Amino acid sequence: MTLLAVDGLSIDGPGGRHIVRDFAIDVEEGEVVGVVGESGSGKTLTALSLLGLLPSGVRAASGEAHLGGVRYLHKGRIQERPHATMIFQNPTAALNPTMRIGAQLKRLLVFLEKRHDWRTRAEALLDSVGIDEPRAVMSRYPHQLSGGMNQRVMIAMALAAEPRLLIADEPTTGLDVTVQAQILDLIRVTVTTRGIGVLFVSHDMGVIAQTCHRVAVMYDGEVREFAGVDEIFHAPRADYTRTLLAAAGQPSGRVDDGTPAR
Amino acid sequence: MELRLDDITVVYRRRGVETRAVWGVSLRARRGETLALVGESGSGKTTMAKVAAGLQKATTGAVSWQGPATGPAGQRVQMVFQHPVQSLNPLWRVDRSVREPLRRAGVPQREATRRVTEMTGRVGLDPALLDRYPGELSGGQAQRVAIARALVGGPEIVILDEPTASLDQTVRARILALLADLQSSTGAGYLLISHDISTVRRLATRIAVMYRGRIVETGPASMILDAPRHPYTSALIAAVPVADPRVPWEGRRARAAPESPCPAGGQCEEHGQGLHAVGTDHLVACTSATIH
Repeated sequence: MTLLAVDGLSIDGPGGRHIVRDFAIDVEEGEVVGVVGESGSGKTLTALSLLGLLPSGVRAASGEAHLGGVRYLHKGRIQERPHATMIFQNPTAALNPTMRIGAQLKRLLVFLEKRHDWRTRAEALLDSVGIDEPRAVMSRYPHQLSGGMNQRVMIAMALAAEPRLLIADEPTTGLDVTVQAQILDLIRVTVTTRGIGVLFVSHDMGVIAQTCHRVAVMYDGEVREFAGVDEIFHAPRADYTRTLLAAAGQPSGRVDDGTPAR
Repeated sequence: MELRLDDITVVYRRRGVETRAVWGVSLRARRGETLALVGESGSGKTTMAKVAAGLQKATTGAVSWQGPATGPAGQRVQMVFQHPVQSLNPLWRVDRSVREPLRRAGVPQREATRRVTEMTGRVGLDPALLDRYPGELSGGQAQRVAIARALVGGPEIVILDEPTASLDQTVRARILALLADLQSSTGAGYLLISHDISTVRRLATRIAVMYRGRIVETGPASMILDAPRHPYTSALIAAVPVADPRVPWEGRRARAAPESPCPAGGQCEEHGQGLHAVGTDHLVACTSATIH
């Protein structure tokens, strides 16, 4: 069943510059949809706009989005809060550096659930993202934990609200490869066990190939190709997709002649 | 010439606390080939790069040069950094940055201009960019400038510290191709510091895998990448996601890296006795790794 449907999303920057034009994709329940592209392609702004998180000076000029059949984004504006949460590239910076992990979870859980037995719930959440010693982690500050551990905490916090959609913006960029593998595995297992949909933003074709079911390839603010992961990697239609594949050392890509793809 | 680092140990002291970053590591970087030093954060690879560049003093151990010199001393090692724009002086035009190593070596002005022009062409940089400031360049352009600056003086060894980590994938592929071309035409040796196996696969002649301050495996690139013997090397290579959805990815089953470079947890007899040969020029930290 279609979980997220986005249509005609356009984002304008300062001076009316068009940053993203006519973005359209959909995400099924239990599906990971990748958005791949290089810096400046508009992939991160697209992700942020779906939660109404665009920075000042940038605005969604048009676009509709439905989550679970309910229209929550109309003419680029958030109409009601969607059941969606987000994780970011640098988890250590995304957490509050002055608060212990436990205190941050407490604040979130008391806000979300108005419960005072938050501690049991926090431990269960950390346990569900593969943290072996939840109590020890809760007593630490973010800078005392590794990047991989902080990303697990971020994922736990993102899942606390029981979202139907998780938006992950480069969630493993900057992590060591063995840690990246564990975080990707956690996301995959979470999708399977909870049946949520994931919109997965990345510039890494290897991560995309091994994580996503379908992939939208963005270039210069536009979706150049949106297809199943096997088609993208083995029967790409857009020239730019072939350029990306060639750069990733994938045989379906054409040899890059050094000129920018269009 | 060959740059030798023998039995290097580096201990950082901060507020009376000692942290041992590197434990008795030996490396050889030779002209015309690329030695890749791979490992994760905290493995000590960047500390080794700094020692090789003379930016960090080894607590114990020796750094020396072997063989006939092909260029002036003091210009033998150059470095290319991870963040290209930040690695250039923001107040200098590109021309001045590329020219600086020649000025320091006392190369006459006209000869320097000729070499700057030639090197600019070889790194594929539009000559019009020589009048620009670093802030006016893209990441890929700035990295070409940094490479021109590193090679213009004819160094023996260039240390490449994560040279493509901050670049987009298509730009990354072009910079790696450029580095490979320049190595065959100039004969410079590269010491490549990277955690990215695909970059290493593209450039490396030999590989040394570092883990928690020690080398756990070293050998020819093809042996390390295709037939690794140490369990940590295997885990590191298997963890890299393959850019093909039809190839099953074993990294999904990757578990936390072992606590000790010794797969037997330091309990075996060989551990602590250095590297053991398991093939031609192929060394592994612990022979019980071969049980794996």
